[in-house]
Amino acid sequence: MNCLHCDSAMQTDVVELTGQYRGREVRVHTRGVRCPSCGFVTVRGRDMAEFRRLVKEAYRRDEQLLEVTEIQRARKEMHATQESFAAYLAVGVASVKRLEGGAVPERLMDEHIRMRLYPETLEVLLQERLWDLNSLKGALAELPHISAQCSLVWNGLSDCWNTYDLITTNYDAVVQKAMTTCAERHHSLTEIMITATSEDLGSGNEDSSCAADTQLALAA
Amino acid sequence: MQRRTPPRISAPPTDEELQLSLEMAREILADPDEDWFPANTFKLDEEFERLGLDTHEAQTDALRRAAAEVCLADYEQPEPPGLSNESACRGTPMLPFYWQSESFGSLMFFKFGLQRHGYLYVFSLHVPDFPRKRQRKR
Repeated sequence: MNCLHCDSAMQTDVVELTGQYRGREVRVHTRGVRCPSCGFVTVRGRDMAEFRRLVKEAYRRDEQLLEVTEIQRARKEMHATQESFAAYLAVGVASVKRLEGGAVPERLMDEHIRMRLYPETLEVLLQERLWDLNSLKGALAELPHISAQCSLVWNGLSDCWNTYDLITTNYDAVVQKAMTTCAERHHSLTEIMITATSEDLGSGNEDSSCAADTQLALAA
Repeated sequence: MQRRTPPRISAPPTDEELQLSLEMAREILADPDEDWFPANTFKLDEEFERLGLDTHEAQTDALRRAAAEVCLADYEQPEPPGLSNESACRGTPMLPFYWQSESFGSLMFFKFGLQRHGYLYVFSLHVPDFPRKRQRKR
């Protein structure tokens, strides 16, 4: 086979491919073909079933679901047929056949079978649920603290808002007051400077005459 | 097997082009030493699972039956054929067929493409959820 991208001859090899199962992506090593030049990899029709099986296995492992061998072993230990085993598990016989044939069980089905096969699973599951409940409880317990923080922030915000509101609604008055203050300050400053200048002039200081002219101009 | 160069597909494909493509697909599927390739492994594998085709032999047999049963009148699209966007065979013209299958016992949909080197890519084989949309213009 020639590579679709670079036309080089592709070789059969174990390749790493990403597969998808029930919305989860898993990487598996499977038989396929690889281009030694550009690295392009793909699977042939004959490798497809194997690839799919590996992806399912990886998914099952990641999700910690029951293995096929585990189900088969449990049935054999009970010396049960698929029918009687299905009756014991309270599931359909088709489900048992599918599961033993490699089908990946849904989470609920997995838990149901585990509880039937291993009664202690119920305890584990209950503990998990209790753990979840406790986490929720912990989160709820933290809520007053969170709400106090929220109100603190809110109060700060409303203070800012009040100040802003005060300024905007009394804008004219605020500006008028600011201008008056500025004028008063300016007047005082001018007076100080004039006084200082006249004192300098009186003392006959030549250097200060120039500065006095400037200050008078400022005052005007 | 001496690999043939696939025909250049016109828009819309001519009878000769379709016939030659079908013949090439049939030849590849009939040869046990030849490989066919899934365009999208997961999509195709799910379809095979729904049809109850677990093994490679069963899958190849189903494809062989599909390729043998379809004829030019079953070609779906009168417009220019769509080009594949799958990374495995990007740019390959896709040839879809709808037909009332005797061996599958229902209306079926089969879509394949021949990559420019003559390799067979299978896009789809399933029972369609909707009735046939368009008839080929003759």
